Amino acid sequence: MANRVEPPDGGWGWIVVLSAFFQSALVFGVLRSFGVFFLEFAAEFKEPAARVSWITSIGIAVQQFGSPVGSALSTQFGPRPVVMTGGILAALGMMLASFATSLTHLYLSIGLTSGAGWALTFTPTVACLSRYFSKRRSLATGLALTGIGLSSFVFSPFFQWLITYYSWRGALLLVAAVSLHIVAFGALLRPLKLAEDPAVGGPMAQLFSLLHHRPFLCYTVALTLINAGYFIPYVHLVAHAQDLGWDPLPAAFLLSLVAVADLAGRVFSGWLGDVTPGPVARLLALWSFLTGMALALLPVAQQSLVLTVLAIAYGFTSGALTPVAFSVLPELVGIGRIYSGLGLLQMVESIGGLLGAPLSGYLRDLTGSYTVSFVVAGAFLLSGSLGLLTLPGFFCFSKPSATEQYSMTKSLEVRVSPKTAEYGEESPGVQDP
Amino acid sequence: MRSALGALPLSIFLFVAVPCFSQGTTSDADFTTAVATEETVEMGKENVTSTSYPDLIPMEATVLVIETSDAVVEQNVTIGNPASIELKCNFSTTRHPQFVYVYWKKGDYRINKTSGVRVFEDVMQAHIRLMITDKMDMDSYSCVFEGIKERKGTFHFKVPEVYTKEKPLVNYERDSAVLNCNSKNYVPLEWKWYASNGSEKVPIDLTMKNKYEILPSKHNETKLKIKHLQSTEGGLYWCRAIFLLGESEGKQNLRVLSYLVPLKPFLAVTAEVVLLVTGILLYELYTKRRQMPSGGKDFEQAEHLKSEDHNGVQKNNQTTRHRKSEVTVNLSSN
Repeated sequence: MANRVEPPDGGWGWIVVLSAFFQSALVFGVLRSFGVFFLEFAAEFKEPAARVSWITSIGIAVQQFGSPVGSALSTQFGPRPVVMTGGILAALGMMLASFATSLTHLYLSIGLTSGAGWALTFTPTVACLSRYFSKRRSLATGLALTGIGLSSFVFSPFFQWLITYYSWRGALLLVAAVSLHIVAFGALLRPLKLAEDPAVGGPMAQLFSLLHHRPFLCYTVALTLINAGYFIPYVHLVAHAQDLGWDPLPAAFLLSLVAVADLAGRVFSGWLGDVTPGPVARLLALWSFLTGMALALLPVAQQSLVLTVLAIAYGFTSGALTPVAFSVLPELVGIGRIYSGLGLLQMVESIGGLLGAPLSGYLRDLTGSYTVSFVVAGAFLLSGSLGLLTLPGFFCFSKPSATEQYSMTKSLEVRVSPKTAEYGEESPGVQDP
Repeated sequence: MRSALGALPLSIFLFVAVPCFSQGTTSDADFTTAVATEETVEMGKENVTSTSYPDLIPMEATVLVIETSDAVVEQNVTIGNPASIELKCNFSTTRHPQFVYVYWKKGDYRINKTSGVRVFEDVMQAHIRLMITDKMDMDSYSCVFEGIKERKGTFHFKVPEVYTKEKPLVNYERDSAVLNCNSKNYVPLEWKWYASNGSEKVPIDLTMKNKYEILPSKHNETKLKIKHLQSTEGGLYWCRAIFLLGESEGKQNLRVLSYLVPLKPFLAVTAEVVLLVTGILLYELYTKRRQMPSGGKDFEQAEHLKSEDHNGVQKNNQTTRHRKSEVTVNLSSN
C-alpha cells in the first residue's frame, strides 16, 4: 500500500469535511450551548454563578491542554481510533454528570472526562481534514468550522426543551446520547498515508522537532496574541451595548447578527484562501489586522448604526481568520507533522484565550467602561498580525506545493528512513474513492 | 399581628354595623369623623379605642371618568392588610359641578354616605374614605355620576396574589421536590398546602414527617418539600395564603418521571450510533475488498486495517517499514 505524495483534494475528503462539520458542532456547539444548564445547576446545588461557570472553563481548558495528547495518539494510531475513544469519553462524562449530587461531581464528569473526550476529538479531526486537502484546504476547513456557529443556533433551544421536558438529569443523559455521534462520525475518518509520514518519525520525535522549528514558534506566538484579543467581544459586546443604553433584546439580536457574519466570513475566507496565490499567512495577517481595527474602533462608535456596522465587521473578519489560521500550519511545518503541530499550537494559543477574557474584565472593572478592554484586544490582534510578517516566504508570490512541502520537511526530519527514496519513486497506489 | 388583634373587635362591630350603610344614618358631614362618632356611640360594651386606627394602612386610588366616553373605567386595588383607603373619581365634564350628582356603590348596593366632592380647574373629584378591615369589605366599589348617561368608575378590591413557578416542576422517582409559593410584598397570616385529587383539594398531611416537610423560609413565602417521590404523586399542588381580608391561592404542577422515560430514547440513540459505526466500517471493508483483485493485496489490506485499530506499542516507523517491504515483495512477485 503506497503513500500518496499529493493529498486527494476531494473524493473521500468531502466526507471528512462532513465529519469535521459535525465534530465541530458536537464539541464546540455543545460547549457554547451549555449555558442553559447553568440556572438549573445553580438552583439545584445552591451555588453562585461564578462557581457553576467553572464547569465549562475546566472543560475548555482540558480540551485545549489535552490537544497535544490527542495529536500524539493520532500520529501513532491514526485519527479514527482516537476520535472514537474521544466520543465515548465525552458521552461517558455527560452520563456520569446526570447522576451528580454536587458541583464537584460536575467538575470531574463534564469538565475532566468530557473535556478529555473533546481533546481527543477536535484537534485530530481538523488535522485529518488538513491532510486530505491541499489546493482547497482553506475552503474545506472554513466549511467544516461553520458547524460551530450553526450548531449553537440549534443546540441552545434544543437543550432548553430537553430540560423542560426531562429536567436536567434526563437532559444530560440525552446530551450524552447526542455526543455519542462523535463516535459515528469518527468512523468516517479514514486514515490517509502521505509521503512525508515515515520521514517525520513518531509523535515524540515530531514534537521535539517542532519545538526547534523557528517559524512554528513564531507562528505560535503570533496566534497566541491573536487568540488573546479574539474572544473578548463575544464575552463583552452585549454588556457594552447595554452600557450605551441598548435594551437586552436588541443587544442579544446584535450578537446573533455577529454570529451570522462570522459564518459568512468563514466560508468566504475559506474560498479566498484557496484562490489567492502565495502563502495563506498573508490572508491571516490581513484578517487579523482588520479584526484588530474593528475592535479598536468599537469604543469610538456611539451611534447605534455605527456600532452595528462595526460589530458585523468584527464578526465577519474574526470568522474569516479561523480557517486560514488552520491552513497556515501545513504550509509551515509540512503535512506529515500536522497532528503534533496542531496539538501543540492549540495548547499554547489557549493560554491567550484563557488570559484574554479575564484581563478584559479586569480592565473594565478598573476603568468603568469597555473602551480600554476593546482597545487592548485590538492591540493584541494588531501585534499578532505584525508577528505573522516574520514567517518565512511571507512576501513570496507562489504557494508552496505539496511536493515542495515534502522536500521542506525532508530537510528538517530528525530520523531518515533508508527506504524513503525508494518510496517517493513509487506511483501512488489506488486510494479510496 | 397587632392589627389583627385590634381589628378583631372592630370587625365584630362592622359585622353589626354593615346593615347601617343602607339605612341612611348620616348627614353630609365628613365621612371619617362621622364614623368615629358613630363607633363610639354604637359600641357600648366593646372597648374599641382609637388605637385601632393607627393599625390601618392609609391608601388611596384614583380613576378618571370621562363623560363623553363609553369606555368601561375600572381598577384593581390590592389590599394586603386592613387599610383606610380613600377612593377618588376624577370626572371630566362640561357641566358645572353643581349640577352633577354623584353617589357611591358597594357591589350592587348604594352606600348611603354622601360623597365628598372637590373641584379643581376643570375636573370634579368625588371622594370617599372606606375602612377595609374584614373579608366582607373586599368588594367592588363604584362612583356613579348621574346625567343623560350614567357614568361610573369601579374599584375592585383584591387580596394579594400568590406567585408560583409557571412551568411544571419535573422530578424523578425516589427524588425529592421543593414547591415554592411567594406573596411578594404582603405577609399572610398562614399558609396551607393542598394536593389535587381530580377536582378536589385534599389538605396535605404534614404530620407525616418522613414524607412532607415545610422548609424554613421568610414569612412572605412557603416551601413544601416532598420526599421519596412516587409516580402517582404527580399533579397539581395548591398553596393557600390566608390573609385577614381573604384568601389567595397559587398552583404548581409537579411531574414525576420514572428513570425509564429518558432511558428509552438514550438506548435508542445508542443503538443507532452502533448501527452507523458498523455500517460505515463494513462499507469501507467492502469497497476495499472490491477494489483489490488479487488475494495477496487483500491480505495486505486486511493487515493495513487491522494495524490501524491495533493498540500495540510498535513505533510508526517500524510498521511502515514492515509494510513497505511487504509491498516491494508483492510487486516483485507480480
